[in-house]
Amino acid sequence: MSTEELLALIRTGIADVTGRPAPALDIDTGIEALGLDSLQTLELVSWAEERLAIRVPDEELATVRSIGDLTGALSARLPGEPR
Amino acid sequence: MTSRALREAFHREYLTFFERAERTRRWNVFTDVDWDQLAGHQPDPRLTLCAETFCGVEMYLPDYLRAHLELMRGDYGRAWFAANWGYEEAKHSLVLREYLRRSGARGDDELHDYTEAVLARTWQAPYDDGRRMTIYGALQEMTTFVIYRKQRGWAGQLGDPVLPEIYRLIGRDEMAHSRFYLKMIELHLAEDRDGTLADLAFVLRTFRMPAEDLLPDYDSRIEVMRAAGVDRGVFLAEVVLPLLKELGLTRHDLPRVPAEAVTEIPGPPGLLTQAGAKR
Ligand SMILES: [Fe+2]
Ligand SMILES: [Fe+2]
Repeated sequence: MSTEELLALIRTGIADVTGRPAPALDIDTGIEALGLDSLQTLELVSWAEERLAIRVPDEELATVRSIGDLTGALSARLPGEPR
Repeated sequence: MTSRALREAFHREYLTFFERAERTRRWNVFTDVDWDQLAGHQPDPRLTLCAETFCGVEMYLPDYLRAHLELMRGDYGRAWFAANWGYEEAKHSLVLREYLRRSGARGDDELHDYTEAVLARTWQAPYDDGRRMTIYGALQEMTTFVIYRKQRGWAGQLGDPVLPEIYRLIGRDEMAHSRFYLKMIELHLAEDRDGTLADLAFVLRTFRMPAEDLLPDYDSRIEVMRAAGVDRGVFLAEVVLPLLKELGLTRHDLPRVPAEAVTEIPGPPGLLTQAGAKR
């Protein structure tokens, strides 16, 4: 899965979790700048995990500050993906 | 309303909490801070602005106490906890106020003006339910602990002679309060797991620090606190995830909060979230 595909998936997830259309984003976008609450961030990760059939440990989420951190945490768990 | 079994369990936990507090955690505003060290010291204005801010947040104690006592009136363990908690919290604004005064950062008149401005406004409890307020308490105390720990480190780096010890003392109280509330949540989970999980998700989703929007010059205070390293990422990493872990839960245990239960709070964004509980 390419970074672009992951970003598109995350945008869909943001819209689903917040009930609002997702803004444009790239890997440098900060989670906080997106206006996501702490729980919405957790919901977003859970939502993406379900779509991708993977699990990211809670400890790793502690370091997620940007969309790039998030795509990194997700893609590291996708089978056959370069880290 | 809680069950009798739950109230009995609360009381037992309160006894444990109180015994430990009496034996190991009592401290004295006048003798446990080495105030003499302030002689000739020029306090850093960033630190004093933060100290004044936290002093103000702690000053809504009458409102916090009233809310707790009203909700917990018929619950012996919880009501006695609130009374003891109020005593411990009373020292927090007092010791910070003494710091501002004894360091020369603020004069007596300024402190009186500030106190009057703070107390002229009223804090309203964000939830009218005991279990939600308990969860709120656990989060709020833990967040306050994290904030004070960061302030303690920062004050140390900037060479303040007494603030690190002040923040250590009050941060230790906050951690003890948070642990007590966590025990209460565990008991709630054991009695009604699904209902408690729903409340936990709801409070996490709508949590705001108390009184953050009531203080005078709120915006500049938030700026300084962010600079001191408190933001939503820190809240997630150092409060929410550890709290879930402590309760033996993960985020997968939390149900989705229905969008219609939550509302956007107008005004400046909170330190941690924009959302609030619909009233
Ligand atoms: Fe306090
Ligand atoms: Fe506290």
